[in-house]
Order: sequence, then C-alpha cells, then structure tokens
Amino acid sequence: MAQKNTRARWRTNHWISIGLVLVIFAAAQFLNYKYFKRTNLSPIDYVKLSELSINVVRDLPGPVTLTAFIAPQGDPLAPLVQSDLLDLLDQYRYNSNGRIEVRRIDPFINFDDARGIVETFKLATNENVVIVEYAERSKVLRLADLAEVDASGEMFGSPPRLVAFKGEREITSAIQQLVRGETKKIYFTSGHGEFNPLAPDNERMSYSLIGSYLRRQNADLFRINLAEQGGVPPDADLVVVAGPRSRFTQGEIDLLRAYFLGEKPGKLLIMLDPETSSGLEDFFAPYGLTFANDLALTRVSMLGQTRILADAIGTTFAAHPAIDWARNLGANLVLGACRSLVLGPPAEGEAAKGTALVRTPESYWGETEKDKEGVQFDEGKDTRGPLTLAAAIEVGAVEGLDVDLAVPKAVAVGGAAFLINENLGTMQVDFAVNVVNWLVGQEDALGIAPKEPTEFKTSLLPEQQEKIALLVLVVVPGLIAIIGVAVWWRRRV
Amino acid sequence: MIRTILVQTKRELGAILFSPIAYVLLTCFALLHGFSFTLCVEAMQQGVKNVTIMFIFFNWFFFWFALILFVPILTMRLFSEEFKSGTVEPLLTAPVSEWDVVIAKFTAAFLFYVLLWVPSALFYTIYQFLTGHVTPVQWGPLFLGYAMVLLIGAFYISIGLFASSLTRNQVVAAVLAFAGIALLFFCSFLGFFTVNPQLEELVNYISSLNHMRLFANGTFDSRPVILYLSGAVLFLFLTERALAGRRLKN
Repeated sequence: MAQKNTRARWRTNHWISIGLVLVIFAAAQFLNYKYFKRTNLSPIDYVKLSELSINVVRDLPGPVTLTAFIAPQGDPLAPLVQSDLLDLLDQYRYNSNGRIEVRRIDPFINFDDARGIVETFKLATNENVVIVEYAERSKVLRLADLAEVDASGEMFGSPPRLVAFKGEREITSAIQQLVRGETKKIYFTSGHGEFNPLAPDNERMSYSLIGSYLRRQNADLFRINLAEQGGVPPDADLVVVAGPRSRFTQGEIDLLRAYFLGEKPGKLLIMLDPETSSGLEDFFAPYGLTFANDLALTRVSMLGQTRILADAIGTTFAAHPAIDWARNLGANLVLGACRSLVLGPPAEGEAAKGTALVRTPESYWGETEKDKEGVQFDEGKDTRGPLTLAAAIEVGAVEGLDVDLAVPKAVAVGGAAFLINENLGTMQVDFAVNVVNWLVGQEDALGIAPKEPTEFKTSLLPEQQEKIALLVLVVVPGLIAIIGVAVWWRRRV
Repeated sequence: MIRTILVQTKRELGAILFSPIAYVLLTCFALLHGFSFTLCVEAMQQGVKNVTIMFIFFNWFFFWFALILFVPILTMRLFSEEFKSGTVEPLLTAPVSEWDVVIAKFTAAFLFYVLLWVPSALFYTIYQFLTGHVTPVQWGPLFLGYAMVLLIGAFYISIGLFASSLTRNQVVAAVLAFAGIALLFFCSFLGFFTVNPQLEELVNYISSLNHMRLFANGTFDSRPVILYLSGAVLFLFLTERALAGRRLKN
C-alpha cells in the first residue's frame, strides 16, 4: 500500500515537474521576445542603420507605423528590394524602443487590409509602397523611389540590377517630417485658365489625381491668384504654374520673380502648353532657358503610311536627382503635346546651372508653322531634334558642382496637359512627384547617402570549375567512404 | 558527474563512429553539400550577385533538406536501439542518473553532427586553394552562419533524442523526429500566408528560415540563440522525464 502511494506521489510529481518546466519555458520565450539584443557583424554598412536614423527613431514622441505594401508578383523591382526593405524596417522597429510598429501587407494574401489601404491612400492596384504614419499624418513612399535599378542589361538577357538602395534616407526623412508636423505647401496659380488640382475628379481637364498623389507626399495644396493676393505667401514651398491659357500681367510676373529670387529661395514649376501665350516664356531667359513657340512633332511609319505624331516622347534623361529614376528604368516618358525648350548660357552677370532633364529622339523637330499644309522640318525656321522637353534651373549654382545648395530652383516643362486625369499614367505621376520632391527638397535626411550593395562575382576558368567539382563531389565524399569501409572491415575481422 | 558524462559520451561517440550508418551519413552529407556548393559556384558564375556564396549555400534547398532529413536518421537509434536490445536496463540500474545518460547521448550526437559539417567548411578552403581567388565570403556572416547551424542542430537533435526515448522502434522514432522537426521548419512558411499580425510575429519568432537568413547576412540576434538553447534544454528534460517514467513503469 505504502509502495503504491509512493508510486502515485512520484507519478504526480513527474507530471507536475513537466508542467512547471513547460510554463517556465513559455515565460522564458515571452521575456526573450520582449528583451533582446541585436548587433550587426557584417563588414558592409549596407545592412546597418545609420546613427542619424537611430537617433531619430530612438526618441520618437509617439507611435509610428511603417507599412510595407508589397506584391512581389506584380513588379520586377519588388523581388530586388523586398528582402532589404523588410530587414531595414525590422531595424527601425528594433531601434525604436517599441515606438515603431511594422506591418507587411501582401495584397494577394491580405485582401481586406489591402483594400482598406488602397482606398485610404488612393493607391493604384499594382503599386508597391511603404506607408509611414504618425498621429493623423502619413506619407506614401513608392518602391521606385527607394531604389535605383540598372535595367540596361535587359536587352542582352541580363536581369535588372540593384544599383543603390535609398530606403533608409527616404524613410528617415519621412519620419522626421511627420513627427515635426511639417507639410510642404504647394501653391498652384489661378486666374489664367490653369489646371486645377482642387477640382473634382469628374471635372474635365482636372488635375485632381496628380493632386492626390502630391498629398500622399505629405503636401498641402492651395490655389493662389497673384493679382488678388498681391504676392506669394511666405510659407510657400513651391509655386506651380500649370498650363495657363491667358497672359500673366507684368505685375504678376514681377511678383513671381520676387518670390523666386526672394530672401527665402523660391521654387517654381512652370509648365506651358504649346500654342498658348502666358508671358512666362522668357521668365528664365536671364538664366539661359526659354520656352520656344513651337510644337514637338515627329514622323512615324504605320502600316506603310507615314504620319505626323504630335505626342512628344522623352527617351533621353539627364543624370539629375529629379529624373534619375527614369534613366535607371530605361523607359520612355510620354509628355503629350509639347513645345521645346531652348537652353543656353546665362545672361552676363547671372550665375545659373541649367540641365536638360528630358529629351526627345533626333527624329523630332520643333514646328513653328503648325497650321500650314504638309508640315515638315524647315531648316532655319524650326528647331532641330533632339528637343529638350523639360529642364531644371538652379540660380546661383555653379556648373559642374553637384552640391544641393539652398538656391532658387525651377523646373520648366514644355507641356502641362499630360498631367490631367485623362492623360495621367504611372510614368507621368513618377515624373511629377520626383520633380516636386527635388524642388521642395529632402534636406532633413540628406546626410544619409544611398547605399550601394556590395557585388560579388566569380570568374573561374572551366578547368578550375571542373577541379572544384571533382574535389567536392568525388574526392572528399570518396575519402569519407573509404574511411567508413576501412572501419567496417577492421570491425569485421 | 562530469567524469561519468565524459565516459558515457566517449562510449556513445565510439558506438556512433564504429557503426556503418555513420559513414553512410557522412558520405551522403558531404556529397549533398558538395553538390550544393558546386551549384553555388555555378550561380556566382552567372553574373553579379548582391549576396555571398555562403549566403546562397545556407539558404539553399539542399541545406534544409539535409538538416531535416539527416538529424532524425542520426538520432533514431540512440535510445530505441537500447530499448530493443535490452541494454537500457543495465544502463539505468548502473550508478548513473538519467541526466548523465541523456547528456552523454546528446553530446555524442551533437559532436557527430559537428563532424558532418566539417567537409562543407573545407569547401571554402578548397575553392581558395584551387583558384587563388579570395572566396567571396565575409567572415562575420560565415561565423554566424555556422553558429546558427550548430544552434539549430542542437535543438533538432534534442527533438530527435526525445522521439527516440518514446519508442523501441527506430523507424517510428525517425518518423516522430522528422514530423516534429518538419512541423517546426514548415511553420516558417506560414508567415507568407497569414493575415494575422500576432501570428506572423510568432511565426517570425520561431522561423528557422528567418533566423538563418538573418545570421548568414551578418546580423546577430539574441532571440534565436535563447530559443534554440532553451528548446534543446526543454527536450532534453522531456527525454529525462521519459526515461524516468519508463523506470517508474518497470
């Protein structure tokens, strides 16, 4: 009986000890999950968060959410950067003392969450983005803005290659802006028939869609009538003149110039459609840039017939932060009906740096007599291709010096209708958003350089490869097998 | 106690090394990893890569295939054979504790597991010796990669040891260990499909795939280290309890 009792007690203790250890194990895992240490032993700083970013996220005043909205199936860029991006977001979370929450949403799996995000942030169905949210503010960063990709080898069958990863710079910058409550104030001029970003979506010639894309960049949009308000408000980060149909008065032009060259360096985006006259064609003339009074045309052969095409297509892009994305992408940019821009040296006594951002192929010419029968290139009258469709001007900057100085900056585009809702495509959005981003600047996080991935490549001779295969596939396993047989033989005898 | 464990470990390791299955395992393992290494070299020859040869090696299918398949084969006989042949009775009645036996068997299996990986570490030297090129590896990530191999191995071996302590049939022990290890490993893929953030966090916490990717990239994280070590201790404890339960039954 006593032995039976002892055995029962022992059995009870046996199971209690197992239960207790399981509880201790679970508690240890909970603590382990909560309190951990992470460090990077890689010699490459590509995978490390910079001190600047660590300082920004360490003392966040409130919770920040980073949402990676990525469907690798729909975008050739996504597989190249997805892993680095998720590692980066993880590092933000780790360094934030619990203030940063990271969410990963694959629209092919998380349907409901994806639908909510698409509606809230007005995303296109195939867009891959990172959404940074703080309090009521948010900023949407497109995957294309986080990476520079070299697709030049595609025509030879090589896959696109990641050249630089700008994720940390963009995300840290976005967090800084949102936490400080800074929104970029963009003023669109009115009173001359300009396109309106505040118009309803269904209004004809509305700029509402590009307006919503700009708001996603944490920008506030306003309209301003220079004649009524007597000048550009001092809080303006950018003034946009989008396709005026009638002329600006000299007084309005002077107000614009006063803003542009003011104490706080002005930022201008002037887009003038062809066959219009706004009085701003020579606004940048002192800096060597003018809008030509022509229409970009080219001849195309279709089904044995030669036709005149009035859609300007940019195929050559400058090495410039505003347009690097297009150069890396290697795609064409359709800007619709456009006039050409003429870039030359600045006037005497003026210092300015001009860059032809977007250029057409050589087959284009700038037609000055659009209404005559049988248009063709007329030497001496028309502008010979390649035509410049968009150009950047930095007043006071020095040619050849690539330092982002706080100077008046402007971008001129020879057309404006390509951004109306009906004409808006992904490339046009990318163009507008990148140009605006360059103009309003990302001064906060400029100290974080884009990170270039370390590249590894072997270049072995076929004989060397054969030798390696022979050694690792035959010699090493063979030696082990021989030792095994020897051991077995020795044991047998 | 330590002396007892050392003697027992020597005995267990000798038993493993004198069995033909050890050399079959070693040969197959070396062959599989040799094949995997050749493919990695071939992949690096194809063009510029942003990852090192060892990152590919540690994250390739063959690596996980070998790990999941070979550990149950290595551990299946540790206790089952003793139960079947009846040698466990004198062992448990000898002046050694269950813990001594469990730790000795675990250490022996783990040392053999380390031996399994030696050829793969030799491949990098062979590469460098034959080509004169510095192997496209980074020593920090390489060290962390092999440290993770050992941590995962310790955890999986303890699962195999526990499975072996539950049955006298070696095949059943292997199947049980394989099921347990595979279940844990395939949990890693749940992270790709779950819509529940808490579940995703949990999956990421236990995902061996994630851990290996992180370590092979050069990032040290204390969580997987604690997880695998405590997991190994837990299963060793359960093995000890299984042996104690068997003694109670008898």
